[in-house]
Amino acid sequence: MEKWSEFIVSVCIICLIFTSSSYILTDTIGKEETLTSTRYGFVYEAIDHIDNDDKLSVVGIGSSMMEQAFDGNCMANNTSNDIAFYNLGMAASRSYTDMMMIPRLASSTVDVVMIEVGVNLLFQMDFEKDQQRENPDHYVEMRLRIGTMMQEEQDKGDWIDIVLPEHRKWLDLNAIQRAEDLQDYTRVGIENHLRSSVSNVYDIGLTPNKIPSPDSDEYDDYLQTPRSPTAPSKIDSMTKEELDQYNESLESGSSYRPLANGTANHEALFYEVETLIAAGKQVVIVTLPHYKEVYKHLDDGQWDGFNETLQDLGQYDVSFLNYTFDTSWQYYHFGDRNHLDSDGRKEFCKRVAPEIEQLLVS
Amino acid sequence: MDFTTPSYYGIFLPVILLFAFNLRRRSLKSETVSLLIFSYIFFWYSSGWYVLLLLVSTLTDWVVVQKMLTSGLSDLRRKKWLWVSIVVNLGFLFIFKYLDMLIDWFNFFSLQMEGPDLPLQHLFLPVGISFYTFQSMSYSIDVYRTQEKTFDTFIQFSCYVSFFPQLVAGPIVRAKHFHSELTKERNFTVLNLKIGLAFIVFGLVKKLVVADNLGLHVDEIFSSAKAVENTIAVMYGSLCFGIQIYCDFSAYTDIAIGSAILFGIKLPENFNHPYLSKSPQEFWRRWHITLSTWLRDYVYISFGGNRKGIRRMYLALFATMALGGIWHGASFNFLLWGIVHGLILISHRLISGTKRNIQFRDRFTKIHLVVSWAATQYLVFLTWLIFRVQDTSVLFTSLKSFLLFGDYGIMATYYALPDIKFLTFLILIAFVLSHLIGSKYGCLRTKLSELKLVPYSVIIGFMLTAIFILKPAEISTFIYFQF
Repeated sequence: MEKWSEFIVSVCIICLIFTSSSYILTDTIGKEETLTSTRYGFVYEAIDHIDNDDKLSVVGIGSSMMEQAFDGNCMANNTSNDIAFYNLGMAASRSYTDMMMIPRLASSTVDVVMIEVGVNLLFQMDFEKDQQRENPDHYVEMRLRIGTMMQEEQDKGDWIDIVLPEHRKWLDLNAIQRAEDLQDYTRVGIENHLRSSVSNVYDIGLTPNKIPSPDSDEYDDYLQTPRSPTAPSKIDSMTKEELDQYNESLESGSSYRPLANGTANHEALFYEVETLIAAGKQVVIVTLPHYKEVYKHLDDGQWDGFNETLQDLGQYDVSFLNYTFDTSWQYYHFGDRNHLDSDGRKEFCKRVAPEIEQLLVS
Repeated sequence: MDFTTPSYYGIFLPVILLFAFNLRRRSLKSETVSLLIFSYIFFWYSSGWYVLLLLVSTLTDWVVVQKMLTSGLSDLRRKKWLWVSIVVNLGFLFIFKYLDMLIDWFNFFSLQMEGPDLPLQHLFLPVGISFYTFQSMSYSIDVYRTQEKTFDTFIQFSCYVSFFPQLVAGPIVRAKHFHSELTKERNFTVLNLKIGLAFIVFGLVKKLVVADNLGLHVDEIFSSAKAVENTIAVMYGSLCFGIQIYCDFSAYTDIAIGSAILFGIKLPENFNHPYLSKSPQEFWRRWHITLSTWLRDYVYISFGGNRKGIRRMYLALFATMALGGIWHGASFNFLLWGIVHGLILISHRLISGTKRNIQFRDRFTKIHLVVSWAATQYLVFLTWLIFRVQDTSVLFTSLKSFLLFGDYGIMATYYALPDIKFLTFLILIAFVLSHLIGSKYGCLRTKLSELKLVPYSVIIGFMLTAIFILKPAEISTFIYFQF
């Protein structure tokens, strides 16, 4: 290589090899890893999967409370029409972190979107305060990074304006930023492939836990009823002494002090509702029950902000399934102070499925 | 800005190349001036106002040399001028590197005698100070010894001291070598670009793929109280650190050599497959070659070398290695590292000359080679352990484990490692193989640059992909930046 023309050819080959091989690796190993190692990366693939379903479809979004309460298979069995129920709830999720999926949901064929609104989700995020903590919470960063990393151009929307200025650095809004973040998952993906190979050869149980791949037969079932809700109930497994101790620990009261308005979570919630209604979706606001002991120790007006938020949502054409202050939920329905267990899930299914069916049929 | 910063490749290097070669059309002097200016800009980006130290060091040695070359100057006066250079350069090193250590010692003794307590200064260590002071000072020593000047102009000399590719972490270049490179007929050729790019990409693979990934394992092991009690974990940690520091440092050298080649300037090699050495002496001929030879020429020989009897030679060897150790920084473990290397070199000289060893070597040549290699590498990695662990109590626990007196649970090692385990282990194996192949078939970077257009470009493309995919999220700074 002694001529300039040869050098230019060489640079072109280098660029071609680099971009194509990087793209192939990140798009296969990196994306597969993101889709199968974490529930936080799977939403767009899940919505596309639901889109291909020719049944009436209902999607539930929200936090782990929604994830634990929602058994899509049970709900489908409790309806007489051909309706599929999909659970897209995620641990610690809230409107602020869910709003990124709204443009995709709005353009999908999904008929009903159940949005969880809870006392745990209506708080003010304080970036400065969080950064000063000894262990800053990286949850929002992780969600914004993964959420935007897995997006396509069609997923951009007004939600970008709601993202707080100090969080915007975590958004992947172009192909280069997406590739950079996907790179880290590619590395983890290679590691997991190696680990599985070693585990297969030596049978030493190092295969990492995965959620089913979108191509697998189990995927549809997983979207309807995630694996984690099968975890045993913490409260049911307690001895009497342990339960007494647990109930005593609740005497310090609920740490949730939901605000009535003015937070990015509120802004995101109203964005979700408005966008979905504008796209012709039926929106159901779901509020979930808490373990009975929790209510005994609430301060006066502690959850008023939550009620005011529900009132504000009433201005929209939405339905409500309000269980937060419903006293008919029993002790044995709960796995812990906030989450329903398998009994509670059955109860939730029994109550919700007919309501949704009626909404769809009417 | 350093060699892992995208702006170095995206802005700095292209701009300086453009300037240098447009100016070269006018004259070589103009190009030298542009190299000098950009070198100072590079240093400014790395160290800010500490660039003035570089200027003072350069000016001092330039004035010292001019004075020493004044006709009719007596030996004594010349020696005095040499001392000016030594005091100024070592003074800088002393103030920025060792002042706090001395204050610490003073406070320790002062406390025993109820004396005053001096405050620590916590001075910022200017990047590259250990390298450019040695380089600048060595010119004064050379002129003192030979009474011949190498550089005709201050611009040339300044460029020698501050040449940006090797300014921060070497290789330490000798004046004669640099002068001949700077003044020779140089062309901006495609071949130079090809070779330079191969060196740079090779360096980036070593740094970002090998060193930074292994570094994560090293950090986890030596920060875990349980892991340092485990022989397997400590041996693995020491192995990883040995490879990390080699890849980190030689990567810097590769990129420095590659960057310099783009301008047609050849810098000396700093490493030659050190982990294949079969004796401690051989290790030092293959490891940080430019510092080893600098210490040999300017310290070991000044201490008498091997011209003044065997005892003096051992003393010179020991003192040189101890100074080499403390050159890395004001820390007990660096001094200990140097002392242990000195003792190993002396012991090797004592043992290798014995009748028994010679007989064994002659009768069982191959076994002798294997045993020599294994023993050398065991000791080298033992010293890396000393080099890595600054906390004395952790160091002694680690040393105990390294000397086979630790626990042996393999799962303890497994759980002590970060999440990315198997990939890093694979990278380690790939490094070992490339080290072996490189030593057998010659320098892989050079081989790569000799390939034809298509295979060359394809391999470079895949190496860039490997960097992009395998580099950890957090890139660490070059280890030798702290020295």
